[in-house]
Amino acid sequence: MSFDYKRTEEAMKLYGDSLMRVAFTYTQNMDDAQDMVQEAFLRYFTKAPKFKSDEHEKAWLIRVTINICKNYIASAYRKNYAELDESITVSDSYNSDLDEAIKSLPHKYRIVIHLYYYEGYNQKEIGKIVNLTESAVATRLQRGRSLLKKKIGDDYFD
Amino acid sequence: MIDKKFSTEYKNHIESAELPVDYQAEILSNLKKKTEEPPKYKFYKNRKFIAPLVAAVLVVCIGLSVFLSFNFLKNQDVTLNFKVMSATNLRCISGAKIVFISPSGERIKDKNGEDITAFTDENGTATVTLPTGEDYKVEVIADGFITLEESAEGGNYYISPIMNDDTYRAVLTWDKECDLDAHLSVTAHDNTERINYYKSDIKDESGVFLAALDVDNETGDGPETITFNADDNSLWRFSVCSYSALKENSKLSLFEAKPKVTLYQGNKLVGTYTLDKETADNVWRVFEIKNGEMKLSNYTYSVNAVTEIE
Repeated sequence: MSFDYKRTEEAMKLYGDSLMRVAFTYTQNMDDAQDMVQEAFLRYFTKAPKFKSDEHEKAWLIRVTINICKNYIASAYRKNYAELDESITVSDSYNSDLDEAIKSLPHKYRIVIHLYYYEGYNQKEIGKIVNLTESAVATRLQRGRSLLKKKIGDDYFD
Repeated sequence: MIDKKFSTEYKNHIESAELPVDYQAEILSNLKKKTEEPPKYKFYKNRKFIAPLVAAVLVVCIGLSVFLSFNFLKNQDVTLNFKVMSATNLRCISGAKIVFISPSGERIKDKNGEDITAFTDENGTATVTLPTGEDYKVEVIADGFITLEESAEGGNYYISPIMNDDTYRAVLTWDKECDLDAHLSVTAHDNTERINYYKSDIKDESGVFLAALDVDNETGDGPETITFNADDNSLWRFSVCSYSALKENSKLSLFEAKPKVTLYQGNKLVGTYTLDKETADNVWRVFEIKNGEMKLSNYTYSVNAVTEIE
């Protein structure tokens, strides 16, 4: 096993923010999201294979981060009400309705919404990352959109 | 771009989450510590030592292999890892005592004739080596918790804090990674109202808690824990629903997920129930309680929506 420190440093610069956003969809907490991302880069450092392309590398990292977050969700105590995350910087464009709507979504919908609308993956690519069939991804996207529409209204969606 | 307004708003929402530069440096520093090289020994440079060193290592390895194989053939012990957690908040329980019991009810003893006992560490974990050959049970004992009796397969064990006499707690676990839900329905004695409850706490009109969903789990193998006071003459029904089978057309059925429900009342373990009949249904009614009397139901049926669960 060889440890490529420089390669990890470059990956962190390229993908660190993306992984933070993926982790944040699960944890809704910046501190825990940072811990998830650290674990992801540790695994990258010790176990990453040779990648065919940058896209392959990013998808690998996202998949690892999702798996780490799922373990976090399964083992941590979760409260039944949403808490305000004080560690997020509230910008001028902060949309509290959207924020509450996203937080109220179950994790399984949040992550496909994030990968589709933010990372720009198609349903087939999302399926490979989260280990679901394309049709299951489509169902989760549809269900996620439907729940969001109930909270924030139809005019956000075409 | 599809759903342009949502995409734009969502991007604004999520882009506040960034990996801080100083945290990146901290991660890299931690990684560096993991790869610090061991000191180089000068005598490695003298090649005269290499051949005898390699020969010595080979002799030791071969000898060890023979010794281990002999022991393996002799007694084939099995090593199991245990983790003990609270069923209400998943906190690790340190100092929990784990004892092992044979099918005949006797304590399992080691080679010196002493009872095999383990105590969990600060992470709630313990590792034990047992002789194989029989189906053992474990008793998990901890101060302030109800003693749990389970099969000794290792893995996660969820124990319940002691409660008041009129309080029940149902802990649902399962074997395969999927989304099972614990459902509790409360029907008023005059059948005027039924509350179907699985996602949040419920209270009566005066704001008193009737039931609490202590732990909810959408992936993995559980647990889901509901605590409730069935001290009135309403009808309380506890069911397990496979949300994965109901909503996601998962190929894994409720039966294949191997759900298990452990029911506690007050300071005692009432029983542990499993779904032992193969079925394609997605709901398993486990038990009901009325006027303080618990009755096992143990039948299955199918629904198209969770609101149909009775």
